[in-house]
Amino acid sequence: MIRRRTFLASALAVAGAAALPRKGSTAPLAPFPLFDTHAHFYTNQSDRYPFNATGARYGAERMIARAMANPMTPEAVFRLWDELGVEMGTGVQYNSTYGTDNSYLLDVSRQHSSRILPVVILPPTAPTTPGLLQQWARDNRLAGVRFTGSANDAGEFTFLSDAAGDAWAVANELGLSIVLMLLGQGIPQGLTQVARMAQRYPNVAIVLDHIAFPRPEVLPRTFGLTPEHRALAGLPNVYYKITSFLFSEMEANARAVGKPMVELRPFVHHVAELYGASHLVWGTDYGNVEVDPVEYARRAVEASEGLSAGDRQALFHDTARAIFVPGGRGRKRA
Amino acid sequence: MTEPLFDTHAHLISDDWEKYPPRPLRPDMPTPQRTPYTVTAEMLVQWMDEHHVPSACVVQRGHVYGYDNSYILDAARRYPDRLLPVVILDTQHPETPAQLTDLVKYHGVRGLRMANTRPEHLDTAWMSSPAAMRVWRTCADLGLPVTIIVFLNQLPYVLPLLHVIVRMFPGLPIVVDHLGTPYGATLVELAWARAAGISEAPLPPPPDYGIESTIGIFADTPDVVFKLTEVNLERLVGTGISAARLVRRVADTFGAERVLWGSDVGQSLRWSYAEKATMARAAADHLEPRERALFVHDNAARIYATPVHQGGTQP
Repeated sequence: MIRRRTFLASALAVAGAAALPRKGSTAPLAPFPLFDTHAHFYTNQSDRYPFNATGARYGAERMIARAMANPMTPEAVFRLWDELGVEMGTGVQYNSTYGTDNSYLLDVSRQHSSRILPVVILPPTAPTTPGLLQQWARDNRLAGVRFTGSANDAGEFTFLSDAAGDAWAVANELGLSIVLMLLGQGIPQGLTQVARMAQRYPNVAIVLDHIAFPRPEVLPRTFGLTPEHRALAGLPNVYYKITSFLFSEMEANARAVGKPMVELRPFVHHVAELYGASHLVWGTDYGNVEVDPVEYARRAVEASEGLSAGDRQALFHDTARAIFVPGGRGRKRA
Repeated sequence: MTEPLFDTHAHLISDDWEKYPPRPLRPDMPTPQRTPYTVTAEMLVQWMDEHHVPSACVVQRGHVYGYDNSYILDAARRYPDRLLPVVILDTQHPETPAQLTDLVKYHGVRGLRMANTRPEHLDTAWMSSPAAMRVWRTCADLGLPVTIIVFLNQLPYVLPLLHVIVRMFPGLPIVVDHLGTPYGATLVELAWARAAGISEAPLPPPPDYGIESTIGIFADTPDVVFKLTEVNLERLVGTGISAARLVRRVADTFGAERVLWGSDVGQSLRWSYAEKATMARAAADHLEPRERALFVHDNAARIYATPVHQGGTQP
């Protein structure tokens, strides 16, 4: 959970840093190109792309003020990417600014097709969703769709229920990725639903945002991974996203209970061993995180030191390239 | 508002005997009789609501349903935010590690219980055969808590064996049912001992309560915790010893983070759920406020990582 007091004090300073990556260091972070699976795009041209910030993580007013002051245009994101050595990435629709209006994301990924692949957000059970996925896969180089939210009173995540079956079936047909951000208390139970969906839709690459929020301060022995997290190991079509946001959350959670932050290198090595480095991807969450994006990217790269060169390249680039494919990966070859 | 309880030991018995028929634990054992009472998921959740019990482990009743965990799985599916299934599986079956992984992966299983079938079965294959060791390994890989019940007559050799196993899997949470002391003898095994002509040993008196010569060996293994249930309370009744004194002693010996409570509803029938809840809180009467919370709720929440496992906020 975001702990407001932890960022309020430094929010302005950090937001400034986030908007203006430091100049000077031109050496890339890693000896290979990176693929950023988690960048958010939004503009302050609000007349053309009106905000729908009612669901904003930090509150609508604050979100809009932030977006007006520091829009995440392609130019802004590319400045960071260039500094980090990011070759390309997925633009992840940002619920906090636009809800399910994907116009800006689709426009910037059309204008910068060599660097941005769109991952849209659509209502998982809407009857229009399957058709939009097909249309955008055909016309807009769609790479995936993202579903987020918490469980309902019955403990069920709507986007993992039968009601979302049509959207899943289309993604399965096209070989689109489905990016999932599970929130709230029901995450362990939700992961059992993820496992069932992974089995039912084997041609969907399921990407778990922020590794579904492990809590090392609660379960130190397993680096915060519940049995449900761990039982997913071995499912061929489930992938795990390591992000700056995850690191900042683990930091805030540890601080809140007066414990030291989990060491990132053992953490990353542990998830690489558990799930296989070829099932890990990486993303900055730039445009959302309120921490220094360069510093946190550097931490991720440094935490991967000690893995083989091939494993590191898989984590920071190759797996993402393989699962985020314009228009989908197509039908699974038998 | 009274403090919340986490009931780590609730047994469910369906009222639908056709859908959930009794099954023996082993083919050489007779099919169990239907119980003359039921504890359905709905009944349990209602009692939990009435007595401020947000979460409960629903522990398979092996001597009713054998290794068929359907009812607790179905119940947990209906109440995913309240009930955590703890299954019993055949530790000798080669498919059990894969089955257990699947149960965690797809069906929300939150724990495994290991149990010998009868006090008169003196072998230890159920917990330490090569097949059983593969089950331990699976639990350790998953971080899946293991609960284990040890019969009174087997405490002297099973606890040291458990100690060996515990040290092989550091970090794996292990819960010893009914405390693992002479105060944990169930009515079933006391009846067996009487029938077998084994005289009942006197209950060890305070201040030690027999801890030193039984679970005392776990002083150096912090992942092992001890579960106080109605079984213990039944033994204490008539001794004049309060459960709160015993719990205080366990906390002094091992630390208050290593003792927790389970009602044993669905098996222990002496007291109603209301009485069980009241007695649980009374058993904490000699603990400091922070220790109380650990014993009646927080230790279980930590081990089963349930109400605290929360990630993210709005997207």
